[in-house]
Amino acid sequence: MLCSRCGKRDAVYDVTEFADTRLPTFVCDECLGEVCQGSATCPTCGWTQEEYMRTGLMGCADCYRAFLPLTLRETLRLQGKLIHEGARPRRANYKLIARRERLKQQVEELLNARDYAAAKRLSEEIVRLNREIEGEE
Amino acid sequence: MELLQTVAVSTRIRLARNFAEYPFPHRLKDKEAVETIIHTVSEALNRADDFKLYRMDAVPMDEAERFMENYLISPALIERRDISAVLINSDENLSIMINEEDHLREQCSCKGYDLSGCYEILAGLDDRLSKSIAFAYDEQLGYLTACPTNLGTGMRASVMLFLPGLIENGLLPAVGEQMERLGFTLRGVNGEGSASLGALCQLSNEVTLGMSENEILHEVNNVVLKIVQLEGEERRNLFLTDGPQVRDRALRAYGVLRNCALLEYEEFMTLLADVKLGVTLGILEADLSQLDDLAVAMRNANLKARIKMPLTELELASCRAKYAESAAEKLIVRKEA
Ligand SMILES: [Zn+2]
Ligand SMILES: [Zn+2]
Repeated sequence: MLCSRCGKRDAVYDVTEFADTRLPTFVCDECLGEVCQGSATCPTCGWTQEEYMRTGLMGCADCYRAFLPLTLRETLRLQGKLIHEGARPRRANYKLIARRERLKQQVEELLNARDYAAAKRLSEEIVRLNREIEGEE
Repeated sequence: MELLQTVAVSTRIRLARNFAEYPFPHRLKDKEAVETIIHTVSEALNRADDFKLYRMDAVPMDEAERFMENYLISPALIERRDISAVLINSDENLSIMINEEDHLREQCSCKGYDLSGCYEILAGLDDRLSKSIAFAYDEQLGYLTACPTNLGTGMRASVMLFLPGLIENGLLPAVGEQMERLGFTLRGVNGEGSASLGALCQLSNEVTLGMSENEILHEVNNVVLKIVQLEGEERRNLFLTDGPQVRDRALRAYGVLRNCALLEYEEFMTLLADVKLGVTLGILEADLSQLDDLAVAMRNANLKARIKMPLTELELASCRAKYAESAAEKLIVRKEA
């Protein structure tokens, strides 16, 4: 397959996920830098491409997108592939979990204040939330 | 006795996972973030199973070493003890390292050879964790890890193999290179450089991206079966060319295990390998999996935990010799020629 940008060289990188259009985009190594541009420093954590080259480690999850196209070159070099084919994380119900954690704190405060009746009511709510979180598919 | 069972000693699979919202552990400076990560992971398992949380900065060195000898933690976890922790279940077949190279390293291991069994347990654990943790994940690159060598599935499957035939006949380097070309690593365990202690080697996948977990396990299985077949051939060759020598070594090893006063771990492992080869070739009789248990039980920190007393190097070697004597008498039988 030929590069969808220059049409001259063989396409090496599938950048569909990173290109603005989200249309299937396959480019050659020369055009890669034109299609997806990153920055020298990660805006989230401040880690730099240079530091990655020195340590072989990214600074945070956002570095992967910040360091395009280096990320794709490195991934291809190390893995020989560019697209994940495996399992994906389930959509967790983070709101329920956050609520449970808040309730747990409240229960503790109520116990300290010796308001056992209110603490019991909230504990029952926590049990119900637990069932909901555990049972979620 | 099936050949595969005499080669594959144990199976281990790990998954690398990270929190989306915190920098990777090597850049984790915020004490509060460290606390939140450790708290969230252990809360996620809260009412399930019987995991115990160990903060590495509070674990005595002997215990940390025992965890390492049992492959529950890595040396890197100890190096980061100021921010690291581990959750271990009571059967000690599951562990979750926290703030090693990645925020989470979930790990499942079992005796013998059972890739799919290990993965099934681990996938269940990962599923439970993912209910309360937002893992760093990218639609194209999969699970995001501190090092891109673990991207995608974040999965490394390892099988410990007993390869005296390949090692004795000098074929391990060639097989290792072949494995490397196929995207796998085969290296000696616990040995100096390329040497391996007790003729044990570890095979694991290198590529973690672009294949599903099951495809990776399928390929690891293919490669393991291939190595097992090669090992079987080399054991036969060894017995044909050096039968009397192999027999002599097995019997001598059996003799020394039953009759010595001081025994270092390295020597013990060499003797154990000779005995195990003797068993596979029908010179001695023993349950190989019980012998493999000794390979862990005889290590320094495991011995110390058994004795429950501080020991000098010399006392340790003496304890090991006594333990070896009783174990050899109980577990190994000499066959009539
Ligand atoms: Zn091009
Ligand atoms: Zn970053």
